[in-house]
Amino acid sequence: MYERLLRGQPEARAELFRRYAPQVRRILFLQGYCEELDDAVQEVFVKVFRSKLPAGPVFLAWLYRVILNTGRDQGRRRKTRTGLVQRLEQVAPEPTVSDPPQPQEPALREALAALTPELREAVALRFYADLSLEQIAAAQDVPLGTVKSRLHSAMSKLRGSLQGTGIEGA
Amino acid sequence: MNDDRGEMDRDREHVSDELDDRLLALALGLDDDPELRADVERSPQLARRLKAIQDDLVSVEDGLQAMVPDQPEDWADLSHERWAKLQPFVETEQAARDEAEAVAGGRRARRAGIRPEPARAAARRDPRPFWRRWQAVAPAAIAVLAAAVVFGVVAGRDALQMNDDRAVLDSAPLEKDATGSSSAAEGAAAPADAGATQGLLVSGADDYQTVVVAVAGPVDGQEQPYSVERVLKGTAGDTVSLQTELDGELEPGTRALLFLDPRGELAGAGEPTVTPEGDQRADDAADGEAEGGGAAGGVTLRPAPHVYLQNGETAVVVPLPADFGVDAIRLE
Repeated sequence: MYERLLRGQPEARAELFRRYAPQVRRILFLQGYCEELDDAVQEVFVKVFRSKLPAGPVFLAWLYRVILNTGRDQGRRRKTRTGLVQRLEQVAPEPTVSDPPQPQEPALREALAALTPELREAVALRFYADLSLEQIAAAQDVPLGTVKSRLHSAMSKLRGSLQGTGIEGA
Repeated sequence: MNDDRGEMDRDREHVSDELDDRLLALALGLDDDPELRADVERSPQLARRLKAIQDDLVSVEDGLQAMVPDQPEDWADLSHERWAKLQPFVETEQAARDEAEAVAGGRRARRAGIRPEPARAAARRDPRPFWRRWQAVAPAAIAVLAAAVVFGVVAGRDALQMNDDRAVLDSAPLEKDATGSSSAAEGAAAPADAGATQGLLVSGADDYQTVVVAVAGPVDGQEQPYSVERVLKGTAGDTVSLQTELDGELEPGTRALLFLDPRGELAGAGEPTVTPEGDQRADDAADGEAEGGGAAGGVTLRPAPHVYLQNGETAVVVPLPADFGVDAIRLE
């Protein structure tokens, strides 16, 4: 697909979009900056399609950097952003009668919102994009050890949010 | 279950924080830690602890996945209007033909100084007959031509330092425009006096409901705001925001004539619907107009007129010389 992208083939662009758009949306969401997720997703792909693509081996890392930078730009652009917790509460689906109670959600949301942006990004890349540690390091442009430290710290805090909810280790 | 819980609590008491961190790193795949792996294999207590951590991580991951708001089934359908800005890049209709045309098209585009923008590529796929497509883009060219012509007349009238060379004015736009619009040719052929030329401007501007003088601001994403200084025709707010997908942006601070809200054939065209030949004609015409206008009044219309998008319609922006008197522009 990369070669076809280089040639600017519309089908390759559409394929790239279909393959990556859902995870782009999740990553941008977890970054917590975007007021309008779809607009941000669109902005990511417009940037990609208008850019001179980097060499194949670094293409994915570059793509994820575009995603992260777009999210950060949105954050800078929208200085009046509401807190992540509030937005999570706004978008979370209303519980229905048949839904089992999910006592972990509020605590997990709060723990997530309390993470630094770098930690949230590492979590997003690991669990939404399923990137390897090395790929995360390339996308965040930090050493491998930093990625490990970030993920460890983030997951330790998120896991801590489960304590006391009665579901940890269930 | 209660026995299990009690067992885990007891395990937790016996597992130090440091060991817990190592187990977490092992569960996350951050460290291989063969020594710890061996310990886990030997110790049922450690094995249970590791399992509990792994279960916690699964819960966290499930929670993270559940947080993202649901998306409609057709969310990634690129034909949906939510992806309007992406559509020029991914239109696949007749893509194979485009591939075949790419070499020839690129050569023509380079000759005409056209950048290979996706919207232009999409325009090449316009199934309408050529004359129809040219008819659609012609009003833009007319407006540009009219603007170019009036510069010379108004500037001359206002005793700016311009040379009124009507011979060039008569010939250059006409030659260029002969490939395109007869009305433009008629207009360009009548600059015998200021009134006629000014009438030409009105005629060109008739294809647009709004004409303003505005100053370009810094681009934000794909939008370039223009601060409106004078409304020559129609109504406009203090700022007009134009999309830069077609010809890109103008340098912030550039004062320009903006032809907005096209009507007639231009309305609904969305983007410059021209073939490579059409592109070349349009750009040739614009270049000719710029050169003609410059020759006519000593005014240099560089950079060339830009085509933007505004709410899906084309908008033509004609940069004005830096020292051009805004008050000298008339639409009467």
